[in-house]
Amino acid sequence: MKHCLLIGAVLLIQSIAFAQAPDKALLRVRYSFSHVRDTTNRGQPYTENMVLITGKNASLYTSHDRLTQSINQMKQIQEQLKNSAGGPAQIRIDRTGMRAMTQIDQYFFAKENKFITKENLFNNYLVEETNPQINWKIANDTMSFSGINCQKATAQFKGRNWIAWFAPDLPFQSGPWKLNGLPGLIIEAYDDKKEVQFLFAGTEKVEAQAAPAETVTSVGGTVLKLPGLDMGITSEGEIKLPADAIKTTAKELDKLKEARDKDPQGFMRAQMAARGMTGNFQIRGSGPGGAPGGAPGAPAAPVVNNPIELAGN
Amino acid sequence: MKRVFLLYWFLLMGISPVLAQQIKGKVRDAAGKPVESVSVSLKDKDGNTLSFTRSAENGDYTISVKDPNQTGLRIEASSLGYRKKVEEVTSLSKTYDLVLESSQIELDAVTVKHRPTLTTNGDTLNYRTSDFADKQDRTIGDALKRMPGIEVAESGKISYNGKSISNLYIDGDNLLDDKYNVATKSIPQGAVDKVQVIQNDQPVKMLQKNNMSDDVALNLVIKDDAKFKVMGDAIAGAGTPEKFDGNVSAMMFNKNLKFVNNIKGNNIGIDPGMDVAALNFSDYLRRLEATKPNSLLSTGAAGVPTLPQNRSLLNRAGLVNLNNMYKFTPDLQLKANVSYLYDERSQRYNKFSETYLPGQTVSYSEVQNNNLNPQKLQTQLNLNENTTQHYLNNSLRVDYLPSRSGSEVVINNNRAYQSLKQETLDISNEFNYRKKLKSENTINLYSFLNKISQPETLVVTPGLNPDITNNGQPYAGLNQFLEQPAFFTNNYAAFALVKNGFSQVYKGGFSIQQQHIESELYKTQNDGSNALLSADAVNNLSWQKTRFYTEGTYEFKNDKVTASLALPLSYNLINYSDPGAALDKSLQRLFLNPALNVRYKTGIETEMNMNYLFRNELGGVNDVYRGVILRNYRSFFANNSPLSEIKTHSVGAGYNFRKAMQMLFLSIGGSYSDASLNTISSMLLTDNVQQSIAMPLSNHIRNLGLNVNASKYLFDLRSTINVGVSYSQSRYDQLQNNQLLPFVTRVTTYKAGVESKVTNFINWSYNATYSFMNNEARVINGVETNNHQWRQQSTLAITTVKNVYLNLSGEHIFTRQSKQPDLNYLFADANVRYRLLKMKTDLEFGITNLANIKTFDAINLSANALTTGSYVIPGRIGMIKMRFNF
Repeated sequence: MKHCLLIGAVLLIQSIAFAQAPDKALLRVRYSFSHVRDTTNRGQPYTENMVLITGKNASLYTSHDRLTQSINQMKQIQEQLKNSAGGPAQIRIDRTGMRAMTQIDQYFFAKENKFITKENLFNNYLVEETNPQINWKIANDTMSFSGINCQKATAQFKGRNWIAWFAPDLPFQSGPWKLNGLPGLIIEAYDDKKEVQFLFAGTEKVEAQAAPAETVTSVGGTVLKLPGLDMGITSEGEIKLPADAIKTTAKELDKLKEARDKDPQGFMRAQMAARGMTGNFQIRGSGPGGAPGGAPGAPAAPVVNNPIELAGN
Repeated sequence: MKRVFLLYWFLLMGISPVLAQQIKGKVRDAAGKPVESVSVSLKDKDGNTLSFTRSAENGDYTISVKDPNQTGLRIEASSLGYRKKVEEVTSLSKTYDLVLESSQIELDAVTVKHRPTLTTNGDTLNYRTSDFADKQDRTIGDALKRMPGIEVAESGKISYNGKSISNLYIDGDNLLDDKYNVATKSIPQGAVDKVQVIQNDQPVKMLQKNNMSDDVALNLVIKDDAKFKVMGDAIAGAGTPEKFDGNVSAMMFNKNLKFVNNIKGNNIGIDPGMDVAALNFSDYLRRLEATKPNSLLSTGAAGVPTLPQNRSLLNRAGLVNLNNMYKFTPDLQLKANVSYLYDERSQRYNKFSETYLPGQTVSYSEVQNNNLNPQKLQTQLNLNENTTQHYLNNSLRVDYLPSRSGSEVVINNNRAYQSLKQETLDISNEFNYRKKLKSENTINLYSFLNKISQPETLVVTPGLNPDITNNGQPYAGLNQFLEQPAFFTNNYAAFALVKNGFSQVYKGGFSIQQQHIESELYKTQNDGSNALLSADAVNNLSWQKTRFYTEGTYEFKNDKVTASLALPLSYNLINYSDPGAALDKSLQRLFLNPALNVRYKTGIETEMNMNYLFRNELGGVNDVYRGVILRNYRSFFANNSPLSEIKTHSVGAGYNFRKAMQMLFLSIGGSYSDASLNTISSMLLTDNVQQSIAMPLSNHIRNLGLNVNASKYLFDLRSTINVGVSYSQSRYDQLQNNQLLPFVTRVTTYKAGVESKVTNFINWSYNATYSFMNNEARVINGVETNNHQWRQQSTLAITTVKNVYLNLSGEHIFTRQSKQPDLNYLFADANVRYRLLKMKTDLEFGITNLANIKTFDAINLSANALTTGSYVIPGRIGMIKMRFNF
């Protein structure tokens, strides 16, 4: 318990976000992600709908399913706060039917050549990674994806042979996951064994509409800031790192996760306290699979014997 | 060690600027401000990206050039908010500063509703089978029909963008030559990963480097998990009235062993002989430069016009078809194709035929009731060695084709019976050897040997037309005996010099053709005595044609143009004699038959081609026999002319357009030929018989053909649509009853079709053809006939509840002929299938010809002859079938 507080405090001190210029989001690209995590069960790969929000320079790759879920949660919370009519807020979030989802957001800044992952453990933690320099080889094969002309590129990267189809007519340099750096947006990518696939599922324009606010004002006037619920881009339609995020390293973040897993409730109290919130927090598991000790954002661990990254590079 | 490394490093440093050149420059906007993060790509003339980079903060970029000798390079710069900038690279020492014009950012939303996509790589176009196949499709042939750009004719012949395919490879191997129907009908679509269209296909490995081929081939890429097991299916079906359909097939597509073996039989109007039909037979004969003797005798029966075979054929047939290939090494393979077809057909019709001549109409009515029983035993043994240094191909073929037909005829109320017996034995061996010499030049040795025997007997009882054959006295019958043994050999050696895309081939060789016609036409009197019909009713003709030839072929190929000019010079010596007819002639001719072919690539996906051909041809043994031959009960043929000589000029041009990304295919073609002949066949028509004698008379046959075909996949509608227009015109002369009439025949055909995935559970296909035919005698008050025909076919395939499939199809045929009543037919079929997934079994119940139409009336039009006929066709058939896959 003490341990947790200490780590939290240390991280807070470092809470100076990276000074990356925000970039206007121009296009949302959706991918059907599938991953054979368990090679003994190839028939049922892990699947998730992902989205890449990209601007000229910056891009954010995140879970589309999680965004949808966040919106639903936000609605539930607003409903409950309204009903509590200013009394002590007891908020219950219905997590039935929810499933494990990717909790990590990946930011890529082409100009600065920076690759930053954001993970939420009550607070947003940012970890900067060296941007992978992928040695793409461009092939002569061409293919059209729903009318978008694409060209094939191949590369060996993190232990897999990747095949990517990029669109020279969409001169973004981004792509799903850590795949980027081609002279056009990566529309589809998969490894040669088709164990990890990012299949094209459409694009959407980014409308300049206000995203739901992260803060909720209850009827009593209390302003509640709920962490972990975000829409990926700011209400101005910009891709930027969360201002309150804490810069850390992968190592430190691992320690924090370890602490969370050991004493989830204590960890949570500490984190909330650090944000100036007090109360009795209880996490109730739901469904047979949900471990009672599982913190929000920590899904029950599936069998993973075939990670996406098989090698360092 | 360190020192060695350093030394090496220095060496590299010294060498690298020489090896890899660089292009440098700066990217600016219109205001002169540097633009950063711009994608700069170096592309070759075909649009392939060679390397790419990104501009730095100050707009500078550096891009490496691996092959400085390459020409046609260009630099492309693209960035969001700017128009794409393309700059030709003229010199590598120059700097290329690029100025980008700003533009509106337009990003449209793209919704994914479907996944069908084509991938292209150079000359290869890939169709992913799963993108096009429907749940109901069983075989790859079903799925091929849905692929834009690919057309499958009713005969099973496949063409891509208007051009017939030369080969259908299975995982790169040619198992079936041009008898590929068995593959498209047997291979399950689920076993095929991709269908590849290979343009400019060159199967001979040592010729691939300087490939001049313009053949199109199809390759079926078999899925890995389907390669290691025997696949197959068994079908058993029974129906009413007294119908059966059965099929057992087994196939395997291993790396070393490939086979497609099958046994089938039915009496529901499906011709199993289609599986072993050679779909490029005319190309095969052209390659052999051989003319095989035609069988001359027949029962004179007419085929059923305009109806597809499965609606008109009354049959009982079986086929054993074995195709096996074994690879000893990746380059050496042995292949055996053996098939035996047993076929019984019955054919019943009555027809009325009129031939319009100025001031005269010749007409006859005919009833025929035929039973045909052809059999075909075809075997081929092929050894093929194909390496980059040499090529060996030897094919031994033995075909035995016995056939019996019995035919009851009533002509103009006179009854007779014909019996026809034919027995063809055709043995041939083709040998081809190529070798690449050290100098990259190649030699080619070729030999073809062929021996054919072809006895035929036609017996007609009782004797017809006694007024012209037996002084008006009734008699028992006519017996026509005919034998045409033939021998042919063709041998040559060729030497090819290849240099920088320019190749010269010099060829020298000879061919010998020996043929005989031995025939006797006897009449049998009522008392049983036999005598020749007349003194000239015999033939004992010997024919020998010897040809020595030399040929120079010049081919040129660069990135844009492929051109070839062939100049074959031949010396032809023909001797033919028939002592009985006091015929002994010889003929010598020196011929030059030049051919020019030019193909021009106007773009990466577009091509124009043009060809010119001049041919001198000499007639064959069938043009010179003097004695009368009874070719069917009402036709007497003889010749009284010198050997026919035909000189043909032909020109053709075409344009091929493809946009694989948009799945759009377009081909336009035109051709014109003018053949001048020195003989014409003079027909003497009476109501009861026709007599033909070839006569010397110079005349021309001129043909013009134009066609446009297009095919496109509509992404939003999930449909493949195709449209086509063709026009043909023939001008020729006919000599009938001593009147020479010039004719012109014009045919215009429009066709359109859709293959559509209406919803996930409904598939709809529709095909319509409209053709207009006009025949006109080009004289004052000449006869003119017009014929319009509409044909529409539609199929609705519905997946109802789980694993239950419903198929409804209809076919509408409408014919309008000047001065004749309209003909209107609507055929409908229905079929339900239930799939037992666990048992891998399909149960099927179907009814064809729901309206139970039992006779089909048709009109057939040719030049000045009009035939109206009424044909017996199978009525309603109900079938229950079980299909098991393994």
